Amino acid sequence: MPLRGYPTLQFGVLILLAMVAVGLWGLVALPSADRQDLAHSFAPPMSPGHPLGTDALGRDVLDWISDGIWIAIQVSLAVVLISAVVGIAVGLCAGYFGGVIDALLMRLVDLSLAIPPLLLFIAAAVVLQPSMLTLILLISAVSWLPYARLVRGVTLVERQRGYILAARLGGASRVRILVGHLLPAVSTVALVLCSLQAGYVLLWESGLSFLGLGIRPPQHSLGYIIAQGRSTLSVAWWVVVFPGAALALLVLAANLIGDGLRDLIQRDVEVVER
Amino acid sequence: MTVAASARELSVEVRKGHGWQRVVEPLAFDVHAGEIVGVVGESGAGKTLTTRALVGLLPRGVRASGSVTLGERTFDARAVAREVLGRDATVVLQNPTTSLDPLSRVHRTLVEGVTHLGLMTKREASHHARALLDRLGFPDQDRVLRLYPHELSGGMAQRVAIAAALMPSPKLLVVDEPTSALDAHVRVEVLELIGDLARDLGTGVALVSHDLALVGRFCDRVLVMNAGRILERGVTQDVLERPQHPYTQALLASAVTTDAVPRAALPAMAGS
Repeated sequence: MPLRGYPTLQFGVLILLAMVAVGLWGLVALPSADRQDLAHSFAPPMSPGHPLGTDALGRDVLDWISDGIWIAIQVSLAVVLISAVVGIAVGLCAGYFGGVIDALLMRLVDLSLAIPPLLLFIAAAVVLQPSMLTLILLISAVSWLPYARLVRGVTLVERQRGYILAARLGGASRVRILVGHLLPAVSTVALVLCSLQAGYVLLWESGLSFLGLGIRPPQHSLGYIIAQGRSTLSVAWWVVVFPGAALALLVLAANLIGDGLRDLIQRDVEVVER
Repeated sequence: MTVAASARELSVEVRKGHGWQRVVEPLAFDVHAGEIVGVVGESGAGKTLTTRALVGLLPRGVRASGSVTLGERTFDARAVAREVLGRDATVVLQNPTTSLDPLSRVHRTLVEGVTHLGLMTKREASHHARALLDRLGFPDQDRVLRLYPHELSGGMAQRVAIAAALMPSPKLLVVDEPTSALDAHVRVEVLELIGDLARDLGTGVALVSHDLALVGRFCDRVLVMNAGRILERGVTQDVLERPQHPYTQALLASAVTTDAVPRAALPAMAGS
């Protein structure tokens, strides 16, 4: 098994792979979660044809979960990608150029961090049409901020190092130094943040969908089915518990991978600086 | 002897409040092709700023004026960097373990600059890098090219940094305290290699150092600097054996040598 000696990372990757497998299986093999069957509403788990039971409209919980996992993974990948690109670019420029550019960019970050995300989302939901794209853009709007701060800090340290001066003395342009030397130097810490943030993004996605501000049918979010099952919790616990468990496992996987990556990178840093 | 690099009316000023304070007085000197010129003096004498001004890269809040000639081309000291860095002039820094990008293999460190500036194709650069590493005493160049900086010893890293600086076959090579971070037995080896290669390539070397023993052994000529002025200049042996200026005499007297009387008080430099 690769990654020997990093049980956290191994465990996280295993959970993630299992969840992806469930999602893929649903995509390929299971019927659409939209199929209602009122004759079989509130079927308990282990019913024939419905291993995890059905909800009030007879929709299969397992179908719904596998669709939900797929949606959750898509949203968090998109958000992490957008916010990492924007945040790293802002952090690199602020840290490397300094002066007015740094001041402007970092005050923008401070200002944005002062806005409570939930208020922003609710206000935006009033104005904008809820959809996967708006959800992705909204969560990205608050997720790039930590990248900018972290990357700026690392850049401030790295730009003082001799190899940046050596690159300047070797005739490298500013863009060349930013992309060729500083970007690789900050990429490891940014990678850890990506993975840890994926967990938060999953929670935001399902949380907003739970509140009806995010993804709605015909797309299936874990948050939405939990919200639907809440009203019938006393008769059908499985409609809430299984999607909730799937969500918890996804977040756990993201956090374990993040922690594991940090350990892995930390060890490499110690080897290099020894 | 052809002149590789020369400075005329070269001065350096540092921003102080709203004005500029001159820290290197206008000075002129030449570095001939294939020779090593030692620039010696105390810390703060202006050695590093002078040589940095020569290649045009000064820290923020520091500016140079005057003119710099490299080969046949003359530049204004303020505009020299973009034209010459990485092409006609290169620099080897003091600490080899920090001056190499920790995430770049040796191959990229050597090849990147010249290919990016369009001086060589990738193939030519790789070939040239192998030849340089061979000259610098690496028996297995293919293996070295694949290594990361943390896998190199201090002496190896500095030789790689020298190879990187010599890749474009520059007219001027500035080496700033190149061996102070290295073990004593590696110093001599590294400086000998710099001298041999400079003569072969016709590169003029400006060696900044406060180690008079090393300067005496490796430099053809010496500039003695203090407080932003060149106080004495000449052929190394003349300057070190028959110093004319009182400052040079005091500098030589305060140097630690192996034949000094044990535990006797060393003459100290008077403050300015």
